[in-house]
Amino acid sequence: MSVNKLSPEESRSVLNKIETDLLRPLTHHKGFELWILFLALVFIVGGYAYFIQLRDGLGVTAMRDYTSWGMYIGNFVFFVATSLIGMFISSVLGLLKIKWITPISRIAEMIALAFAMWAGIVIVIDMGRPDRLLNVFLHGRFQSPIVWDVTVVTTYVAISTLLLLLPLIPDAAIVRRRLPDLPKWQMKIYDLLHLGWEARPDQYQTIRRSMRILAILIIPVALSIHTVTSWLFAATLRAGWDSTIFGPYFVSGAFVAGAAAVIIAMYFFRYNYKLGDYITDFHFNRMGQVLVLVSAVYIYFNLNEYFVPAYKMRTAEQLHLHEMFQGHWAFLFWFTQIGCLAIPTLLLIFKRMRKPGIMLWLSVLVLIGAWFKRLLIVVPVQQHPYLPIQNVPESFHHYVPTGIEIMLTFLPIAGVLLIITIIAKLFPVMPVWEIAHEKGVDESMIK
Amino acid sequence: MKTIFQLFVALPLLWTASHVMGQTTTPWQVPAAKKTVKNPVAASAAVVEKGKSLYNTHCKSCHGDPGKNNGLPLQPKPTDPASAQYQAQTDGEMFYKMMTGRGAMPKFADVISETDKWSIIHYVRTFGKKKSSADAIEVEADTLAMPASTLLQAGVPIQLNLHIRERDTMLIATLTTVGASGEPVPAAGVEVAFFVKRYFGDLPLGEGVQRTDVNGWAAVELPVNLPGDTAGMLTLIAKAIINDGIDNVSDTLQAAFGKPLVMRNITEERSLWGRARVAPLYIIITFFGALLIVWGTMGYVVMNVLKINRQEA
Ligand code: HEC
Repeated sequence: MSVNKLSPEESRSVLNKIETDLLRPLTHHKGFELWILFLALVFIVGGYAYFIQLRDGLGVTAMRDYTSWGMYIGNFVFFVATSLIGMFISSVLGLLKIKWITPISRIAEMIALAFAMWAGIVIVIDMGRPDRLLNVFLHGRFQSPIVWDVTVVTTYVAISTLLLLLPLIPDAAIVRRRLPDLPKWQMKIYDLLHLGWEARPDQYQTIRRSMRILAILIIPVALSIHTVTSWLFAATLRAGWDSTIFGPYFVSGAFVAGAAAVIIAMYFFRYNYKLGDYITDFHFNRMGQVLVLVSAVYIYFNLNEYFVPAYKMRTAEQLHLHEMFQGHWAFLFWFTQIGCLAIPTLLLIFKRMRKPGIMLWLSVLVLIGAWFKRLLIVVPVQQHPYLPIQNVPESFHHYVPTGIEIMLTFLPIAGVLLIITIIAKLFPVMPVWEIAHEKGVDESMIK
Repeated sequence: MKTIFQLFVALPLLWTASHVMGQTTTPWQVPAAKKTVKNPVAASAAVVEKGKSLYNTHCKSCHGDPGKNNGLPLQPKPTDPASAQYQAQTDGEMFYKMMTGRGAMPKFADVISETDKWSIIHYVRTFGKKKSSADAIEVEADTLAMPASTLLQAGVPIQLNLHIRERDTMLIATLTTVGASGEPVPAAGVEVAFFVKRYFGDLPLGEGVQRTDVNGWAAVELPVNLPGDTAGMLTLIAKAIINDGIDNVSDTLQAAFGKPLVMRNITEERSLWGRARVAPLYIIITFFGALLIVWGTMGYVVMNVLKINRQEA
């Protein structure tokens, strides 16, 4: 898509405005310290909870012999899921040459990286003996989805990091030029990262080509990360997990959670960072359409996942499905399925609903539902093993997360927010150079 | 009212109880005509052997070893064939009871042929006081070179020697005993059982019962292709049954006549469920192949990007 080129004078003034707008949060940000303090508080409380868990063992959680995967694993699946949106927006939509994603691509990448990194940490939180983590690498079996999972999560984090860093190279040069008074350590980061950026055509070519390669590469990796996560369940013979569509079911659900997270972040950056000129109603409208699309696909998979077994009602699945539809889990189940998925999707079909304010609340609802949905996938199945649960202590029969588990759920959430906060504090939340380029600024000036 | 109700409950119970208990005492009536039927099969050592083998197959599980009173504790109890009560029956009565059965005692009318039923009766009679039909066997046994039973009563030791005749893979047990003046003499007419040692119990070899001939030899053919140990070794056993199994004499022999056992250690084979070291090749190749491609590409991208400041315009 060719843009009408601006004259050097126009270029200078447009670039100046973009730089001023996008770099302002790096130096001015009201309430930043308070926010960091709040996150630190969550970290201290969560850290204390983790200390107790390390000292006393996993017995401090509600996990027992039967329900041995609880909220932590639910968190893990949720985190991995939400991180997939980075791949969807910058790769799938990017490769399709969809232009409106430019101002939100970095937001999606930040979400991807933060959630993927913390997904890895959440798994360690779930370990009773984290000191034995190395054994997974030393004695891991290549036949086990657990080893594949560790491998793909690590790989996904690496590619996401690269996809975040590459477009930062020109931006680092710009920050370096525009804000020379930043602290020394911060300047050192830009120094290292700008890699001698001079806005030469061959440099543009290298960056663009590399981003393209990574954008293609990340698609299979992202698909496999969540497919493998689903296989952790589907590769076992348990009524409720023993499903052939778990891979696509998880992947489609991942985009729902991720799209909702991106909308929330967009809202925050638009109003808090005063970027209304860049993240416009148009962008919200588009993201609303994306959310409707991925939710519709996810609803379709949900229909298959629940309706088909429910139609057959095989003995083993019967107990599980009854508990979900009308038993112990019924409220949560219908709340997530109807309240947090079907209704938001239906509402967002209407253009009038695709406005920032309404979308923020609908997205929060969708995201909360996405989290509960992961819990519903993980926990109830384990309470209906093929052999009846007999002669065990009372606590083995149910699962109600303990305070420790709840605190250690807030810890990684705060961790994700911290990573996003740090990145957004060090760098502009949108690729300055790409936005300037789209506005027709002379490329050789962007340095 | 209450007492009438209690009576209603109690009466059927009493009736059932008496009926069940009464069964133990009801004598087994055999029609007079059947009682007097004579055993039409002539007695001989072979017939008694046959009867013994049939008894062991069909009757021993309930009636136990004759003379040991170790039958199953059923109600009524399957009588020990050596007991006076059992022996008091006529041959015809025994035959009739086998034909018809009663309660737990199965009906053998269509299971065992008539001749075989009479053979069992001949065998069972050898435990009787009168030994009416067993007399014939004693006569026959006398004609043998040296009846084992006589020898043992005298406390003379028997020696069993087991070896293989490789020419036709016959397993041969040679039994010797001591003659009147201390010289070794063959022990004839002694029952010998042959076995191959297996994991669980011993496998009997040969059909029917083997007895030593005048040379003190008994033999069975060793089947080919019996699985042995990893070296193909078989443990062969010969047992001379003396005094109804009380004073058995036996000999064992190790011989490489078996099929060598090839152990298939499935934990060493490549499989999905095995250890990492024996992961299926396709998984290892896919895993490392994908890893190499993805990380290789990432490395390539990083190398390129790191060079951007070196390129000249
Ligand atoms: C399933 C167990 C069982 C088997 C096998 C069995 N019997 Fe019996 N037998 C019994 C029982 C029980 C009785 C007592 C029946 C009764 O008095 O009602 C009995 C009774 C008899 C009697 C009558 C004994 C008496 O004192 O009145 C004879 C004879 C007899 N069995 C012969 C045989 C023979 C021969 C065989 C093998 C062909 C045989 N049984 C196999 C259970 C068995």
